[in-house]
Amino acid sequence: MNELNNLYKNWIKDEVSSPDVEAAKEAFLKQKFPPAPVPASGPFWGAPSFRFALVGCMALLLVLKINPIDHATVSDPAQITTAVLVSENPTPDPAADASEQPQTQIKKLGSQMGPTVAYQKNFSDVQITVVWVFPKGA
Amino acid sequence: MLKKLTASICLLALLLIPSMTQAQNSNRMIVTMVVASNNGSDFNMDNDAYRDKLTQLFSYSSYVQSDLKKLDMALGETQNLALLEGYNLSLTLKEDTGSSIVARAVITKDNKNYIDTELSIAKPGIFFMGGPTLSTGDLILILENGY
Repeated sequence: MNELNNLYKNWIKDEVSSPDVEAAKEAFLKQKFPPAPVPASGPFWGAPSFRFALVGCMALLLVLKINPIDHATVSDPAQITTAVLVSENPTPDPAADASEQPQTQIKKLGSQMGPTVAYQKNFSDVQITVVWVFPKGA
Repeated sequence: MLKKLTASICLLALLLIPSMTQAQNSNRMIVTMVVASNNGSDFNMDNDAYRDKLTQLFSYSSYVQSDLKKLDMALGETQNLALLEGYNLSLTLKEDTGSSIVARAVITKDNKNYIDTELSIAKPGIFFMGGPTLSTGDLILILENGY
C-alpha cells in the first residue's frame, strides 16, 4: 500500500513539474494576475507622507501668490515710515503741523547775475532762511 | 480842573491815535549789512547773538557789520535802501496777515537784479540775503521782521 502511495506521489510530482505544466501555469498566472504597474517616479513619490507635504507646499504657494510678502515692509522699517509720510490721507496732527511749518516760505527766487540757492537752518530759538546768489565771474 | 484834565486826555488821544494806526498798518524791517570775508578773523556785530548763526550758516572767517537800518513798511509800499559799493535793496510789503507778511526783496546794481525774491515770513522772522561781491568781501544782509 505504501509503495502504491509513493508511486502515485511521484507520478503527480513528475506531472506538475513537467515543462508543459510549468509553462501553462505561468501563462495562467500572467493572464489572470498581471503584475501591479510600478509607479513611474518610484515608490518614494507615492508615499503618503510625501503626498501630504506636496499638498501643503502647493497650498502655501497658493497663499503666497494671493498675498505676496512685501519684503521692503518686513526688512526695512525706514521704508514703512516713508510710506506713511507720503500717504495720501495722513492722519492730521495740528500740533505737529504747527511746529513743522516753516517760518519762512520762498515764493520766488531769481537772479540775472548767476545761479541762486536757498536753504533753511533751524536754530534753538529761530529758523533762518538764506537766499544766496553766486555772481558769474566773481 | 476837570476841564483841563479832560482836555489833556483828548489831546493825548489825538496825538496817540495816528501813531497807533500807523503802527498797526506798518511793519518794521531791520536790515543789517555785513561784509563777510576770509581776511582776518574779525567779528564786529552789534548783536552778538548772530555770531553762532553766521559761523554755522557760512564759512567765512570775518564778519563785519557796516550798517543797520530800520524801515517802517506800509502795506503795498516799496522802500529803497542804498547798500555798499553801488548795490541797492528794494523792499516791498505785499501782504500782511497779522501773523506773517509777504515781502519782495531785490538787490540791484547797475540796473541788474542780483537777487529777486519773494518770501512769506512769520512774525517775528529772519532771513538772510547774500552773495553780491564787494571789494573787501561778500555782502550779507540780515533782514528781521517783527522784532
